[in-house]
Amino acid sequence: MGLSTRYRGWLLLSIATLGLEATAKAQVQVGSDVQLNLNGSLAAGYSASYGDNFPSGHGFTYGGTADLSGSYYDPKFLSFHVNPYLNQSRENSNFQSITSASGVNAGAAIFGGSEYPGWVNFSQTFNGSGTYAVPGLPNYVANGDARTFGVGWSELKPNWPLATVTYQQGTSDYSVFGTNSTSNVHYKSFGANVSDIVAGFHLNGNYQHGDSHADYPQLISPLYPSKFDSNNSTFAFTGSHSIPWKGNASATFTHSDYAYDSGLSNGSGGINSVEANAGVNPSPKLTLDANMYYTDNLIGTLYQRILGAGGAVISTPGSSSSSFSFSGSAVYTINDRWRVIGRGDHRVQTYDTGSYASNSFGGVVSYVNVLRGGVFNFTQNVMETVFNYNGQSQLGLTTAIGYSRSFGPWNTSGNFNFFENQQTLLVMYQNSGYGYSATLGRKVGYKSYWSLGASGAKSLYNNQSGWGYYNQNYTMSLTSHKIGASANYNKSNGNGLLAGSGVVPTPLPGPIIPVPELVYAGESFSFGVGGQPVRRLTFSGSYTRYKSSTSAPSQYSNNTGELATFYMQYAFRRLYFNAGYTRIFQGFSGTGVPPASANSYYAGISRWFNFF
Amino acid sequence: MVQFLLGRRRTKFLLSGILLNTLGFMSAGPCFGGGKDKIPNVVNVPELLLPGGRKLTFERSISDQRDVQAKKGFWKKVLDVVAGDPYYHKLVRPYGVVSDSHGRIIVSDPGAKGIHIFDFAAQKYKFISRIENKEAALVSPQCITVDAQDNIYVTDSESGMLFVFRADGRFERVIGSLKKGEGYFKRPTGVAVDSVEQRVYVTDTLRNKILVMDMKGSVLKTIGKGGTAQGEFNFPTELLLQGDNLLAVDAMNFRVQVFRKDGTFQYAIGQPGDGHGMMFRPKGIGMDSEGHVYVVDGVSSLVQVFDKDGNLLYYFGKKGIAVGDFQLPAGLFIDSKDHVFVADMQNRRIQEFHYFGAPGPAGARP
Repeated sequence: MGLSTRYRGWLLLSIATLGLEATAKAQVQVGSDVQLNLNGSLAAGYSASYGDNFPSGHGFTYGGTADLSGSYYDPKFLSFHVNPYLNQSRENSNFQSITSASGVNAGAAIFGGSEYPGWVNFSQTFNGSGTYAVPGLPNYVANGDARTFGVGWSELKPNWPLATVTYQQGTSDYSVFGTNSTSNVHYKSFGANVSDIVAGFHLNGNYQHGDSHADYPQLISPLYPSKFDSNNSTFAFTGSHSIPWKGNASATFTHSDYAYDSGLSNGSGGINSVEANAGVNPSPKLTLDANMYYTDNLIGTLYQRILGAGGAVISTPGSSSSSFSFSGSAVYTINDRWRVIGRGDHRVQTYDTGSYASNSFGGVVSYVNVLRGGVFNFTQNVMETVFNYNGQSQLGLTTAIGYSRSFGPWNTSGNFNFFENQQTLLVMYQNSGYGYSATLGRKVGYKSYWSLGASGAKSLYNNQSGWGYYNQNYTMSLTSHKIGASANYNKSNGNGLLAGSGVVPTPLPGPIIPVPELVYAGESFSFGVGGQPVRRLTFSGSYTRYKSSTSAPSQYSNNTGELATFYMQYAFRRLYFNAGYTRIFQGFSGTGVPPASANSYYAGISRWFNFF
Repeated sequence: MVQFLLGRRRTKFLLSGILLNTLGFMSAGPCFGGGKDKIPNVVNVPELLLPGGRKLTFERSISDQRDVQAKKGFWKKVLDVVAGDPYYHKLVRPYGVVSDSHGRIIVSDPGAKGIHIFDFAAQKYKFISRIENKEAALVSPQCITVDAQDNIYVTDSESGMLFVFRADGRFERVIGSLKKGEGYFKRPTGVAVDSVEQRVYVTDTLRNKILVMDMKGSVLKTIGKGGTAQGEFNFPTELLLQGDNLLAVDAMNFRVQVFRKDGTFQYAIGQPGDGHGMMFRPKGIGMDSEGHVYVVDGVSSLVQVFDKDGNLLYYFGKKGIAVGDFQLPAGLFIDSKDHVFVADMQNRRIQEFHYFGAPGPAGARP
């Protein structure tokens, strides 16, 4: 029985490919000016997949990667690369996509050796895996298509102002696995920068403009906006000049305009700000700095931070606001071990029809030394703040202490910091908290090393119960000559914002910022193992289990997930025998959709070619 | 005009003309073939015709494992096409070279952090590596020699040790391991072995000394000290034990000093300079069956040949990548049949030449 037409075609293609690789192994010159290099891999195998709420199937599959690079005339004139890939995932290659992704990455640089270099890049991914974030925890799995494009150009002519112009745009259409919700994120950004030196003054002008659009996945609450559009334009001009005592003085003026539309509300605003800095070093051990800052729209700057994090704002700014601050510091290095800093600042802020001012004075002492065979460091910060709007004063403290040393075969380190009544961007708000980290490790046997680590942090806003964040992490690893393994446990909770990429930590205290209230909490456990037990054989595997809750007004969602991947490869010359397994389970109770699971297997062979 | 095959690439070369430079009595001026960018397909193979019927010819170039392998059969070719070529060890930065009693060519390669053994007779190749051994890692192998049993001795300037391997490549022992924080050597480079008297000679470049040891590594005596006088050194490097003579390259005094084995100074060859007959960066040394001393000059990329009185007889090589050219040549070895091996470091190859001495009365060569 003869081969079918389809298989005869594959056979002929394979033979032709092998023959091409066998005969051509050098850079190819096309004509007199184009030089090309091409290498890549072709793969074929068998895959099967099944699961709940997931289409099942099995059959032969194929894929591959390629790396085409080259230049025209000269690499400094035009160089380029194109990297297409087809059906690549964690179970059949070293790609990190959980789904079988296809696409292309490409880029080119032109006039690289001239005074006017430029570049352009492009990427397109189909069915790639993405992430949906929860702070402090492994990302939930999403998949979809994404495309980016960027172009830039510079002018580097001597004795001329240096100029750079860039443009980027991107779009991502994705769905979070285990939901029936689809989302997309689009952005465009343009930037221009010009700098020059005139009569000793370093001058810099910068313009940035960005547009973004996000359709949020409806995982949290129907009260959350389903879409959010925003744009932002910023122009900044900076001038600086050296001053006596090895110092430098600079001043920056910035003007920004922003606008947003969440469907529930829309708004816009403009911000003008001025900042001046001066610093001198009258002696090698002494540094003096002064800073002045003024903005005519304090709330607008807070809005910009939310928008910059990708979060949605759901109300318009209220009354006008402003902020002025003046601060100074003196740093004196006593010797290699001791350093002292004196600080003071005066701040005046106006918002919510009130005026709030404060004066702070304090200092810092830091010490670092070798102590009993280890390295010890200590920092103590004390700041006394007097608030004029209520006549009260408050003592702020920051303490940080750390020590690391080896005890025989044991390597240890520990760090702890504590802070209380620390000033935030707003005079009325302070926060307190602590952080810690510790590691312990030792050599085990001849070629193995074992380590254990723990870290955590907590930060709360004073007088704003429930606003803040907390996270802790524990990890253990054992690495040997040929195999390594690690396990990890994370736990976190706090206030967040819903953004196109998931939940992001809130950058500011809630009461002053009109953002949808969202509280997250969760924990995860994961372990991984990988290595090369014998020559030519490599393997890697990981298992992650994560669960979290997100609560918003009138809506609570229990979210859970599980991800297991395994991949092994045996190499024989340029042939690679690959096998892999992926299991994913993910669900969000807030969506009303049952969790989904998927299992997939792959076994196949790939061949790497160096075509030319 | 003769055609012959050269190495694995089977590139056709033409043997013609006089391509080695001679001075004084040389028969042609400096002229090696080859372009600047790549080795041309057809080049003139170096052959130096010398007075008295002597001559020096180029034999072959060795650059990787494939050079020793037999012609592949049909099924191996099929396997190569289907699965691709296997991994071949290549010379990365060959520094020292020696040939043992079986004609195997042994090359120290600090770039590859190991030792290559090319056995052309058996068509076998072996690579020795100890980079993963934390107690005695072979990190930067430098000069290399063999004893009467073909045991391999190689210095490691970075780890400060002298490694000894058996003829089959198995690790035998190490000399110079640290004792109480200080090793025998600060920077061991040159090495020579006297199998008859069971002595090992090692130059410690930073100490300006030659250490004479028994086979276990116990230091019996030292030769030389820092200085410029006769018998003194300024960064000594390569060693050569030839009969009762011990030749040492005194690198920064720009000379080769010749001692008796007991350390008695006999004479010196060379003077500083970058002209012909002068030494700029002396590296490997060797001596042929007629007692001529061959000295590699690394920066000048040539090999100069002196008589016992220090007179320059001739030189060969120039900077380049063509056959017979060198780029930062380092080690040199001459076997009992006057095959001259030069470690052409930057060109990542060993070049083998053959010196034919003066014919005997009946036309036979020694």
